[in-house]
Formats: sequence, structure tokens, C-alpha cells
Amino acid sequence: MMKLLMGTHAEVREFLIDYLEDQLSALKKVQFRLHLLMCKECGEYLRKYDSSVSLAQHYLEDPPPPELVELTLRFLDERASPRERGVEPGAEPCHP
Amino acid sequence: MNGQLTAERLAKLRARDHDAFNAFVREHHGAVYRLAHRLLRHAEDAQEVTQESFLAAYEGIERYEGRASLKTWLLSIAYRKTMDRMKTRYSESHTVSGVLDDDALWRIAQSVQRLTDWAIDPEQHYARGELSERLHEALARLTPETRSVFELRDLQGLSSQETADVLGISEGAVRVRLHRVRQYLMAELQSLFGGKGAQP
Repeated sequence: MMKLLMGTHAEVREFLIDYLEDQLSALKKVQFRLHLLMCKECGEYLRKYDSSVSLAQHYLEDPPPPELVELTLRFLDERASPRERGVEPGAEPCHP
Repeated sequence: MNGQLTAERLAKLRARDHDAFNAFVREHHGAVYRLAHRLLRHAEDAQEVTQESFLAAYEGIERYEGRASLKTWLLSIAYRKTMDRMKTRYSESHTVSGVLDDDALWRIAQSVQRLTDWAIDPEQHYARGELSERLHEALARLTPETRSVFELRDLQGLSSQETADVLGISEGAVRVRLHRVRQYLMAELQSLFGGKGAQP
């Protein structure tokens, strides 16, 4: 009866992302909520699952060097048709 | 100019207005470069692919139909160009050993049994640089297709639908892959911080 009401640990862990992305039926959603409320282990699993993403976001933050955008703009000025890029033939490429 | 795609802005881009296109490049350069770099793991190649992607967008802006956002459309160009680059350049000379296929990833994802408390202050145990390196290494073991889901959805903040549009797969497939990557990262962190291991 409890299994029917709350779902199993395996179900909760397997379909966690569907719960988080609101893809479950209303009944399944209630089962998940109840399970996460009652089950300390799965509640902790959810907390670690969220923390893993936050930690990865924090430590994988890798902004590209700012000068690269200027290289790309210069590349476009050189490669795209001069008239289309608003640059007179023979003139220096203009950058804002 | 902000990121909103107004009819006026789209018209300017289609007319190849210099300032409008430069603003478009500045706005999305980071996203395109990060995707290319995450998959190629080579700064020069990533920059070249970024340039080629913007050139393709510039030359093909008439083909943008407005069904997805302009950023999604641009990233789908970048993704295709990145995968092409991988196939041509890395097919023989740059084979990465130990890449995890879907089954291996699933097995690792199931390996987390006991959770230790590492999330509160991870730098109490490891220096920032070391943690960063370990996470980069962990992601590098994933297939490019799986890595790109995590990069777009969790690191760049696209929705699952947008991620699916960029990669040309279903939203359900995005969720399945993303869930496996998150569980895999959890297992890796668990292993790093002394809990039950994350070995394939």
C-alpha cells in the first residue's frame, strides 16, 4: 500500500528529472512529493543531485578570452562581402 | 541593443546591417565559443569554428524562419560545424581513450549508494583549480553528444526544448541524457570526496 502511495526509491531516482521538469502526471507528482517528504535518503539524493549541478556550474565556469570576439569581428569584415558589411572597398574595417 | 529579437532587429540583420550584426556577434560569441570549446577541447579550433559559424549565420540569415530563437538557430549551426570539425580532424589522430558510452554512464549513475556530505564547503577539501580540473576531466570522458546536452542545458541555461532544437533530438532524449550526466557527476563528486566510488 505504501509503495503504491509513495512509489519506490528506484522510481524516484530514475524519473527525478521528469519530476523536476514537470513532466509527470498529477498522480505521479503527488507520489514523488510524498516520497521525497517521507524518505530521508531520497531527499538527500535530490539535494546532492542539485548540488552536483550547482558545483559543476561554479567550477566549470569558463568565459572565453574577451579579445576573441574582436578576432571574430575582424574575420567577418575580411571574409564577408565588403559592401554587405558596410565597408567601402579598400577602407579599413570599422569596429564599434 | 538588447537580446530581444524585434522585427526591426531581424530586418536589420537580414539587410546585413554592420552594427546590427556586430551586436549580434558580441551578444552570442561566448555561447558559441563555449559550445565549440567544450566539445573540441582545443582553443584554436574552437575559435575557428566560432568564426565559421558566424560567417555561415551571416551568409544564411535569410534561411532563419523564426521557428526557434535566433540564438538556438545560431547554436545549431555551431553544433553542426563543431561535429564536422571533430569528424574530419580528430577521427584518427585524436582518439580519446576511456570515453563512456551510454551503458557505462548508466552503470556509473547507479553506483551512488551512500552519500557523504561534500556539498557545503567543497574547497575545504580541494583547491578550486583541482576541483575544476577534475570536473573538466570527468566531462571529457563523455561522448560529444552527451557533453553538448550538459553544456547547453545546465551550463548555458537553455531550456530542454531549446537544447533539443539545437541538437536535433527529441526533448525526451535531452532529459534522459541530462539525467545520466547529472547522476554521473554526482558519482564522480562522491568518489572525489570519499564516498562510494564511481568506476565504470
